[in-house]
Amino acid sequence: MVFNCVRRHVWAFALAVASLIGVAGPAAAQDLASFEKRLTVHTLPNGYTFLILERDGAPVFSFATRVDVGSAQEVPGITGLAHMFEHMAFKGTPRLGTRDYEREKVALEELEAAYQAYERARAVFKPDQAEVDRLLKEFKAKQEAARAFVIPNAFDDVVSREGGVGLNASTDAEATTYYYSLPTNKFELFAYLESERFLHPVFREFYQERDVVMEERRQRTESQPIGRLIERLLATAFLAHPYKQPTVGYMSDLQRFTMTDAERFFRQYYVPSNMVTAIVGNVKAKEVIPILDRYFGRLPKGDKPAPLRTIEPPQQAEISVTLRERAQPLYIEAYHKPSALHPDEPVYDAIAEILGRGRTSRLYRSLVEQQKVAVQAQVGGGLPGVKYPHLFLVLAVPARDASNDQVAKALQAELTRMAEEDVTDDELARFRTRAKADLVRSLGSNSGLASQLVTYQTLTGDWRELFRYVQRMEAVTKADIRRVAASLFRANNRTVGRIEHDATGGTQ
Amino acid sequence: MSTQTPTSCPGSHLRLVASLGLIGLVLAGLLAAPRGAFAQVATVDELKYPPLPAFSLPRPTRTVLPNGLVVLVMEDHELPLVSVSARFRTGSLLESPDKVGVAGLTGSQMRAGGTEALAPDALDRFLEDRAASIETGIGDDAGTAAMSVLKEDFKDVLRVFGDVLRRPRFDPARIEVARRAIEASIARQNDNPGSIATREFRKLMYGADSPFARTVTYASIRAITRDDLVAWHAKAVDPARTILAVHGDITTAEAVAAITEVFGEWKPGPKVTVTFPEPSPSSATGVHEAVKTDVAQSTIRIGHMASLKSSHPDYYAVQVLNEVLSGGFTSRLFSTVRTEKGLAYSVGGSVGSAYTRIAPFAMSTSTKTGSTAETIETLIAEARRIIAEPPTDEEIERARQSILNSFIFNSATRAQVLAQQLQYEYYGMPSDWLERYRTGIERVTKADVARVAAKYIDPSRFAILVVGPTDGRDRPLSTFGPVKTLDISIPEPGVPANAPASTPPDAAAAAAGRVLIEKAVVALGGSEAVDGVKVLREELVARVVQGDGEAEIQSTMLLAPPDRLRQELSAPMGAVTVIVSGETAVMQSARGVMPLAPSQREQTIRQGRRSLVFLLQGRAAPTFSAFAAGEGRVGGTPVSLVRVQYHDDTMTVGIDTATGRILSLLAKGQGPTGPTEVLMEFADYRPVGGLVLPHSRTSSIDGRRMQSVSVTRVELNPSVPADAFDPQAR
Repeated sequence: MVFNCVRRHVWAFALAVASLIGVAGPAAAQDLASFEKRLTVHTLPNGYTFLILERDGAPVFSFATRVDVGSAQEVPGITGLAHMFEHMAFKGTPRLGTRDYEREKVALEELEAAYQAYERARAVFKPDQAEVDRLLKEFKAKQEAARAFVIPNAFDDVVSREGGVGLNASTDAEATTYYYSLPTNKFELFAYLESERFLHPVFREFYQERDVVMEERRQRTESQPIGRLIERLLATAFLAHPYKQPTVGYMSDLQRFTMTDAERFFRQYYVPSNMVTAIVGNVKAKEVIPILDRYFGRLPKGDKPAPLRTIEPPQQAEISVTLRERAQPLYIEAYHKPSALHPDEPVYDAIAEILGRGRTSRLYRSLVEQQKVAVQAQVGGGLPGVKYPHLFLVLAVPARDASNDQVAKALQAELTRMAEEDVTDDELARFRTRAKADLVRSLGSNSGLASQLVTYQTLTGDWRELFRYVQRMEAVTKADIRRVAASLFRANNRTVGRIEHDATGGTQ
Repeated sequence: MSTQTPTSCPGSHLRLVASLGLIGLVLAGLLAAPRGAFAQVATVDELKYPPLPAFSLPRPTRTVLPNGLVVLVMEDHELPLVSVSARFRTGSLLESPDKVGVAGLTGSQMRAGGTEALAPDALDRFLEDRAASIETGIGDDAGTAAMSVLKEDFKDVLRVFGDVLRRPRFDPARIEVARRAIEASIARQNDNPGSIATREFRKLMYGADSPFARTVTYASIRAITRDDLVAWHAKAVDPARTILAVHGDITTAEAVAAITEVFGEWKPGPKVTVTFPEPSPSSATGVHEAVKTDVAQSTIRIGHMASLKSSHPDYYAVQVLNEVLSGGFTSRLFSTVRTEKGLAYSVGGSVGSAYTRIAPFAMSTSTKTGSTAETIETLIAEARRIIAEPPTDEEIERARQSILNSFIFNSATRAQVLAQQLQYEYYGMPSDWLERYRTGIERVTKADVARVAAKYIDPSRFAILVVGPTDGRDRPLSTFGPVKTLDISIPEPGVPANAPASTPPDAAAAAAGRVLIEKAVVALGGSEAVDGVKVLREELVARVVQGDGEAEIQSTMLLAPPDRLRQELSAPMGAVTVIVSGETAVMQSARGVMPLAPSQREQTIRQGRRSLVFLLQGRAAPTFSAFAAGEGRVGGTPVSLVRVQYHDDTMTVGIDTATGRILSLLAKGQGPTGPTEVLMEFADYRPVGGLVLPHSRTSSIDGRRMQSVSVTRVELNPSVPADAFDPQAR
């Protein structure tokens, strides 16, 4: 069964993020030297940064543009807006996707005025239903009028027609990333489209697309047991930090936020100093830089958005959230940990790997093989992001005849052991060997490299940290692991999330 | 190409920017651009592209060892890594129905269960200490093994890779771990609406009992022993039916030498030709639903079995058709369902095909419950439209450009080229498949695409499947035809006859099941009336679907449980009488008296036991158990589903939530191609004596009606002639 086009998304949580931050090894110094020769950093006067990595091979290139904005920049009322803008970035420009922009612009202004009127009428304490209905009808009429000017999906059309592959974008709690790959002879097309879409995006079909995003929320969060559990867990584990908010947004906000909200959000965060693009493939920096200057130099300079103010306070209480559902049991423990920029980051990686990676890992050996209470266990940091202090997660899938309580007990013993006993020489050696191999394996694909480079550049300010992380992993000691595990796995730092099976529960 | 050209409005973007108060900065940006070079273009159509430099990668070398092992090697010295992929000829399509899961378990345990030389945890450590990996698996029509290793460990790990392929240990403790993981996944198989839809749609397309749709059950996984794995492996893995593909930082000569050292003395077994079954081109039709109340959407699948193999010349036109229908954001399904109507986040639809076998045409999406009917209607309308209004020149050109302009990405890396050649070698495809594909796509005409749309998509054959809540739909599903409610309850492990269920699913479901059964007894006339029936006589007319037509059969049935039954049939081909009396069972016809095979006798007695009166009489028996199994619908009527086990028989009964009448019974029966799930629906309830009994029974398989029965007369406790059950009397 072919299931196409699952695109524009990724506010989904990803345990994998942990391993993204965890790479490198002995060969790294050499790799760094060879990469430094082939990688050009080019910053425009407006603050836009490009990383251009020249590679041999087929005449193709991949790019990733990372904008330093995610759902952490939202406040209640506009949750989901970072992700919504990501969808809007595919709707075209005044010169792409329209039959007559002059008239379309007027129609869009009237449409937004009609929506605002409708929104005001229905938001009052005692709405006048007849008036609300009339305004809704008027809004629908304006929507139809504006639609008449639209050439749908023109942006996608050009990319696909010219041979682009992997066109997509993703939004998470702290970043919005846009990417695809093209044959090298279409480099100017890339420069044209990617500068135009951020120079003057047009928010056409905004309210239809808002419906699509609601379906995305229903499909990926509301109709999946794990989606429901993670949303509730985040909301509970964080007291203050916006990491508590779902990236896709609350349903009520999706039903109410407006085109005007989205434009305001765009102007504030889509400034060149907040954007980095990595280009990886068979391109020559010397040849492409003039093209980048010409196209991306047009983006107006803007102030780098102010950093977030709210810092998550220490937890100081054990928290538990239980969903009683028709679904089968699931068990999660989440612990607060510092930002990935913290010097102890590689120690957290070591803890995650020794506990949860592969068949030699402690949780697999103990919970799955020996005690047989679980059939799967995953461990990692990175929920819902890594830039700010976030959660370190342990997720276990109980066996058919085992309870969450049995899993909890077995898990507790392993976490305590991590804090009280040294890991073995073998475990530490395995961690280091894998770090080196992981780095080598991650260097194979253009698109994978592009996305790693923009991630490190945005988070740390220097792509070289991708390679330097090696030495930091090498330096992790047994004492580090005990020290960090002891502070991490405290009861007062724990949020437990469970799904308990209830045959009558969970009806929506 | 004649696309609609976006109207160019030279001043417009400046005005927009000016309105943001930023015009000065934009001008500064323009001035900063290099002089003399061409300026940036205004519209995308003004872009001129240089030709793409010629680029091609070598094919891998191919060596055949004397034992028949085929070795493909592709050198790639960019990174210090080597990988080896193996394919061997086997697959779950070859499984017997009572051992579903044996192929997959053998596949995973070749690696997970260790080798003769290395116990499982020693093997795990050996690999993970080197940051190396070996994984194995068996899919529906191929076995795979793959290793990935840092170059310096290649030779050591290759030896272990050889052992994994040839000398797996199948450690019993690891088999148990795997079995538990499979049982956990069976328990979870209804947690995700998408996986329910995929599984049930496969059943509708291929037939529930076909090897293409069968799923692992508690019973089938428990029936599999270590000996089964050993036997499967011995049969499946042979050098003459295995291909190895080596990729990475190694020379061809070194690779072939290393492979020869590890695999050269591997002796081939007797020559065997492995043939996989082919799917039947027919598939279910009609409307089917699986009720799932804890989700926010209807997950929808619509389609039928199509008849294309990728080896057929139509393949290229169909790829263009698929691209137009759902190839991307500009495709018809996407534009209509998502962009224009905002009905769904993801939508797809295409004519499937494999190189060696046919596959379904299928459309899929999910939408909020309140737009279920609108979305189904939209999908069907698009399927009809692609036939009535076949793709335009413009659409075809766009699809073709998209395929051809991105062609370079099909062979951009050496790993990709090797993987393709491995696949071609395994399935017997031409090694220049990709070049043929390109030429084929270039030659597709508008007439071709119109022709294949009509040939491979047939809306009159659609099956519609909806997974989700029944409440809150915009219109009832019956808008699209009679609705069959699918039983998606998870069958518990088979219960041996005369033994109480050893692991009741749960007490609440058992209690609810009891209540529903009592309700059904009341609806049938009450316990006294039900339990008072000792003998039941029915006269009936059955209309049996045969090919395109129907055969009418008159029949009289005399049932006297527990083990006596007489059925007289007068069919077009003559009169037949079946008599069962205890252990004796015969069939009398013009050709004489023939004993029934034990399995036929069993089947006949089982049919009698499913007669509603006698089924409900069984409710006090120790071999009877009933568990509530969710909600469903029969026609438009909401029913409570009850999973009943009675003697050695398992069935799902649909009880009208309002009246308590039994409206459906789903159980194993005899289909045209073998045992399958037969759905019997009951209607036309009328009073008879103190009872109220259905006088109409319709049987169907996968939504296809097989037989309709009208009961013309019922007698309760009639007088029975002395020789009625005498097998010798005529």
